[in-house]
Amino acid sequence: MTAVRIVMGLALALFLGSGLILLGDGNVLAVYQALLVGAFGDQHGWDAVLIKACPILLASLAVALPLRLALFNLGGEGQIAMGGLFATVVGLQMEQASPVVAIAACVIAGSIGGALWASIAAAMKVMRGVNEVISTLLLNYVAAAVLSWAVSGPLMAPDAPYPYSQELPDSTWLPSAFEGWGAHAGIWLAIGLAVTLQWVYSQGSVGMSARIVAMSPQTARYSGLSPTRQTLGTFALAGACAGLAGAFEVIGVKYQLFQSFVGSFGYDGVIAAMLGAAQPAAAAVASIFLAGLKVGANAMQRATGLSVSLVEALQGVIILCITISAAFPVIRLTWLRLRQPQLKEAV
Amino acid sequence: MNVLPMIRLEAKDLTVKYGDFLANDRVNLALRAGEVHAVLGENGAGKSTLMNVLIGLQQPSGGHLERDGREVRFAGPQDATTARIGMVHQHSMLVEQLSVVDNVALGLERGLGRVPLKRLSAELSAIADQYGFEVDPWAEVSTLSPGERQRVEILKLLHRQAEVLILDEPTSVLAPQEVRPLLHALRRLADGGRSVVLITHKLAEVAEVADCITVLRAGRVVLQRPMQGADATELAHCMVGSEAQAKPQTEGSEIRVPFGEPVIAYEGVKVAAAAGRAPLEGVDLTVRAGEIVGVAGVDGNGQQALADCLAGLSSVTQGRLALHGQDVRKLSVRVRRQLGLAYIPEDRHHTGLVLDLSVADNLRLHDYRRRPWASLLGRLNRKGILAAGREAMQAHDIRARSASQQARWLSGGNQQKIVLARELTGAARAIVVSQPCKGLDLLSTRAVHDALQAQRRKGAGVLYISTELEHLLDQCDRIAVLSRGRIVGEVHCTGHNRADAHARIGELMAGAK
Repeated sequence: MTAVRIVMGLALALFLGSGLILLGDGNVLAVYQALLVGAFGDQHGWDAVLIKACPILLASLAVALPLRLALFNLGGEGQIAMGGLFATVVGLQMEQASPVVAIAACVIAGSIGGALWASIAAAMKVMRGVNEVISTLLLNYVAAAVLSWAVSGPLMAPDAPYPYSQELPDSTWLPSAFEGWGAHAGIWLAIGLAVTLQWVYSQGSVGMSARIVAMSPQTARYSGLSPTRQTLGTFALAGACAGLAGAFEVIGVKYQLFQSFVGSFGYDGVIAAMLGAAQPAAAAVASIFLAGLKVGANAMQRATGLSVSLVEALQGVIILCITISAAFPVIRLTWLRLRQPQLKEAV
Repeated sequence: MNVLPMIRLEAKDLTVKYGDFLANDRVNLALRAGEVHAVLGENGAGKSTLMNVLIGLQQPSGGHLERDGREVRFAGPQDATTARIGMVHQHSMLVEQLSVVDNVALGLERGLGRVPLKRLSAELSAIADQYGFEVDPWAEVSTLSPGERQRVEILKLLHRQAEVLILDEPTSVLAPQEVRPLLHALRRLADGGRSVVLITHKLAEVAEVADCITVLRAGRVVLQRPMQGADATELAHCMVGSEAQAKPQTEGSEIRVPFGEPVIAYEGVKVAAAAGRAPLEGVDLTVRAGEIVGVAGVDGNGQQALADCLAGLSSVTQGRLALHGQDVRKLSVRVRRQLGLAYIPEDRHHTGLVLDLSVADNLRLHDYRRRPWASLLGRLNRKGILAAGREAMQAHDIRARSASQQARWLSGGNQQKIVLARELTGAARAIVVSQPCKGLDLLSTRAVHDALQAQRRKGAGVLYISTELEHLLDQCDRIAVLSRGRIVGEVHCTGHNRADAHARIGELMAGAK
């Protein structure tokens, strides 16, 4: 069902997009071909796609897991920033360490950074009932400020013309995903994580617990589950995923820390999680699709000479159409919880 | 001389199908001006479906409605309202945060401009006086008791000049002393020329006010007659059909084993008040093995706190609480269950069950994380859970389409059987039951009581909290009366005869209130 809806959404998006392209005096077929071939046509395209897909995928997991409890984590940006910051701080100390130790230390530090940051919002939620949508969103700005302070203050490289950190030692650099590719091996860990979480949530008792807590917190307490502990644990895990994205960006792509290293991966993750209906595996596929769209758009612009704004509008239309058509199950889950007391019995 | 009053609303050969299931099968019903018409039936007999058709919530698959002799078709509830047909639902449909006047004003005026609230409140007060309802038009609904809310709903219908009033199980939310005034008010409404429909499964109430009776069973009208001369036993048999007659009424009068060690002990237990829950002000109560101890009282006197603190859902601020002599105040819900505690909560829908999960999953709420239902890695054994669900459905007569059907779609009685099956299998030695028969019909009520008696025979101690005094008198060895968070007295059921016990409990309830 979902698959059918997504295909229909995509078709609608392409149709609406055609209108945009025609308005911009473009050749519809050529534009779409450039988009597709640019992203998935050759190794070059795939390489670029995987680089972008990794942080989006991890950020989408950070959204998908809390969604299982009908909680919304919009704090991917901030959690990624904190992950990157922690990984950089630790990574800079790893001059002498072996690559295995150095990378492991950065990865763990990044996860902890993201988990701690997400836990602030979770703690406010369980202690004071602060709406997690607001708190996670606002904490993104705080994280951006902290990051800005760090890279222009204590972490700023000596003699740097503008705020960025020193380059990390080689020992912390992630190996390539394939021999000779630019994409780093972190993508494998991200995909592995998505598959594992998919299994855990669909097959495991963990998924059942999440369902019970999301559908009926009172029943959860009655059967010995703690909604509080579930919220804290899930947010910590979600934050760790996003933090991991930040760490990978630093030790796999940028090799140093600067203000804008987060890109907009946190928000892309929200879209991917919605596209994937909060299913980790589906979110992973959606992340690769979104990354493909970004890479393809660049290629499309180069090949057809269409203006940047048209390309961005086209991206927006595609994402919007598919999100609307695919996000129904997620919306329904949240909606169901909101109006549960009023639901009528049959007969 | 025998001129029957005018028919206000008539259903002719009304049929409602859900798939191949006939919820209503060629039902005929004539509601006359000036009459109280009681519609009786067990859960799932098709009463709600029939009423939903009358108020336009459900379209019939066959047959039609006539209003004052003319055929009408209701596309939605709005049409029924226009036709001056109104319903008071079992659970209040008012907006809690608004005042009484606001609620009446809702949906009343269309278009721009201010709603004349002052005029409205004066009108409401006038109607209220006429029927002896005491209602403050400016009170916020959330501060009103269920009984008061019900009166507001009736007022709202009267203000809209409804001629046909339908009330769904109106007494189920009322305290015992509120029942009679309501029934009298309904009588007055009918005497004023309105047509009142009373949906219920409580025969005693029907006898008091009804003029006519319609009994539904399995979607069909099995009996339709004037109340005069009707026999309660006949009606009961009509409602439940042949199944119920095979079994004796109760099993309370058998030989009993002597009671054993205390399994549940409250010693000066205090629990703080919480949202919508009255506090406990120091309760001493002991339940021994093989004993059923009842807790009687008007709802809202601490019943919820009494059950919740034992189950581990709310903390004890003072006093001691023990299971088998072991202090459980600091123990988790799970550990308490391991000590043999079973809890059948009052609120099936939001505490006892997860309505969106399947029957099979709901049966495993407490142990799905353990083997054999989950592997060492935590993988759920779905096949095993489903198979166990099917077995339990067989063993406990849970009627559902399949073990994977969502609990939401089952009738109240079958939902409660899921809870019973889950809580009472295994080694339950201390059982807390809160209002287990609320909203249940005779057969389901009997199933609940049979299950409790079976547990008692196996040596469990049962704490039976209920506002249904008759049930307590039937089932319990001893009844404690809870009032304002304290036990104000205990009555031994075995020593007294039933009427004496009843009177004594009534005194205790009244004395402290």
